Amino acid sequence: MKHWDDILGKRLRGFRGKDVPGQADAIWDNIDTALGARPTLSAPFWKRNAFQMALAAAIATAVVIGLAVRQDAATVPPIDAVATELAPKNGPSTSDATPSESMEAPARAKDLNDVAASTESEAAATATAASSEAATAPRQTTSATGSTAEAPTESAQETYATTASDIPSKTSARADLEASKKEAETKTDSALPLAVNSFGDVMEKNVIIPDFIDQNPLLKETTLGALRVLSLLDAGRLDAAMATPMLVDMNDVEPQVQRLAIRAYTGPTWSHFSNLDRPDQSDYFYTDLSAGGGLMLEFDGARPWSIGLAWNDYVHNLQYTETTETTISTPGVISLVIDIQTGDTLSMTEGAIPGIEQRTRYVDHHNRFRAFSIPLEWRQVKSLNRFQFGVGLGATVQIRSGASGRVLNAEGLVVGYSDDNLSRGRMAVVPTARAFAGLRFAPAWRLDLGITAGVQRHASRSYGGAPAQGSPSWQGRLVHGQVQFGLSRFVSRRQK
Amino acid sequence: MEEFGNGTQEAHWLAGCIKGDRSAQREAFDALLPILRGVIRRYTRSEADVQDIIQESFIRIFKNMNQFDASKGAFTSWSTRVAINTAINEGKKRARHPNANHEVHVPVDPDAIQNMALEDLVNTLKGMPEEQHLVLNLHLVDGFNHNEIGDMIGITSEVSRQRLSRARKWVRDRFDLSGNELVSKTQQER
Repeated sequence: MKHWDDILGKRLRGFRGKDVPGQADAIWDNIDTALGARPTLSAPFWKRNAFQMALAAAIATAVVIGLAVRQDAATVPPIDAVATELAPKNGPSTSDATPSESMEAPARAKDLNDVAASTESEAAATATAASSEAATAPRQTTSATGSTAEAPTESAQETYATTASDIPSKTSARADLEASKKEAETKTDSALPLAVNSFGDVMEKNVIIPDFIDQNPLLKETTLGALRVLSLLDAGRLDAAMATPMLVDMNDVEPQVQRLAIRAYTGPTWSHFSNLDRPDQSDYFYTDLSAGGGLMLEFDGARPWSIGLAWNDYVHNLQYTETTETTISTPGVISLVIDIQTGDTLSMTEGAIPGIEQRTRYVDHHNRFRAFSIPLEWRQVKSLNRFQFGVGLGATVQIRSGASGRVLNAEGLVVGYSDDNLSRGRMAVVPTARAFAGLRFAPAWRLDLGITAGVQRHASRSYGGAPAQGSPSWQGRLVHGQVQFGLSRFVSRRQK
Repeated sequence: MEEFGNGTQEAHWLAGCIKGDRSAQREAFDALLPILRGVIRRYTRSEADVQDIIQESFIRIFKNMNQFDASKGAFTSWSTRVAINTAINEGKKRARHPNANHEVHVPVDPDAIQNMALEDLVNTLKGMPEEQHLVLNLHLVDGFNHNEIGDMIGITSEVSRQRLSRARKWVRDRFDLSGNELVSKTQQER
């Protein structure tokens, strides 16, 4: 018994199977595609799957932005931290100021520049009835909420001192005010933030002009006359840093501080292919998911534009059932002669019996289209407390970096969908639209969730030309989009 | 086409495959394909599934090349083991989806039917119950012991022995031959 076991095992071990012409190449093509799409973890980073790449890019970008901005914040005061409060009250109301504020204000006044000191002393000398209370009153009503806000405050104090002293000589007062104005301009340049902008983080609620300015026509001609106090839309709901009213220069001719945001985003992409030549073939194509990510620079003010760099992997499915028929022959009984009377078999002929073998195979191709993108977008943003809502329209310059998969040609045959099969021009311009909602979870940070979509022509290389024999020829439309999870960091840029 | 066994060439392929060199992978694929195709055809009852399983086997081989340990055996043996495991797993998947391609294999090439008795033998053996056929292949042909078979397909060694016994009986009944007659017939085929 053992004997035939050994023989059977030995014979079957040597079984190789008959080679089917073309099968090896077909299998290798599929393996090649699969290895390209599903590399091992030890593969180089650019061969890893789209989600890993997008996630890594987003994390790396966020870290870089965080480090860069932190360093920047150490040297330049962040706009959101510049918050100066002007109490709209004059001398008699100074009793509202707390004792500590009253003590701190003169103390800070001592640290002011010489102009302020000389102005104060001059004011004291020329004043006939000005009491010391009146002289100190403006200083008491002026307080800075942070060390970074002292520059504009100092200028204000200088002016108050001059004003409160009720100077009889306007010439002298004007000279002092001119000096103060220059000083104020110099200091406000570096500290005053931009006014209402498309980022929508501040809005003008009330313009409060202090009474003492209102009462003194001279002051209205000065820089302070151009100053307005803005507050955040709903300060009560914001934290202390964000709720502090901001001193904003609304004068168009004044130097501005431009704002921009660096936004890193990532998220799943989707795409769907439609065959325009043979719309009936579009039924074989299905939407599928992949991933992508990128980095955007979002400019503010009169130019609410964004530009960036992204990499996206779009996948759509081609699903079909492949049926092949093969003529075969199997050994069997060809004819059988039976005696009707007795039922005996009289003769039997054996031989090859022809037949048709039908094979059905369900095929699902994941067609990948990878591209670097340079998105250019115009935004419109509305704010509601900490939330922001916006839409964007624009175009994306798309540079194809690769493709793989299978597609149906005009004859309905399955042909390659690769870089070599797609159009020679790697570049395409894709109109895009985006809608998003964001949350300013910190003064300079925003998280956002949005959806973007674009549409582009998608055609084979030979389409429209003189196709080589056997080369694919098809034309279609690729609609794709992405759900974007973004993180933005707002930074300032001073304009000279 | 170069066969595996040439140590230098094999080492070259292995090094290239581990690096992900596609040309080295193609050379290894060409060399391994006849071997693995035979193995997979023995384990796969549906001819239509063979190509898919070959494809999946090679993908697994190339993706897990860094797990190959030359001190434990030849690369061909390791690849064969991967292919067998793939075929077994795919068989389980298809068993869970009975509507998937399940067809009785009929040899495609008429010449193969007439001239290749070995092909006929393989196809005939596929007529036995699947679980017995699997154990027969694993034990009798590929030399796994019953403990290994139990681990591979999730049964106990006793069940494996039982299935092998039934497979042997099936062969005897199917051929209606004693062991010696089978020997003489296979010798005639040669």
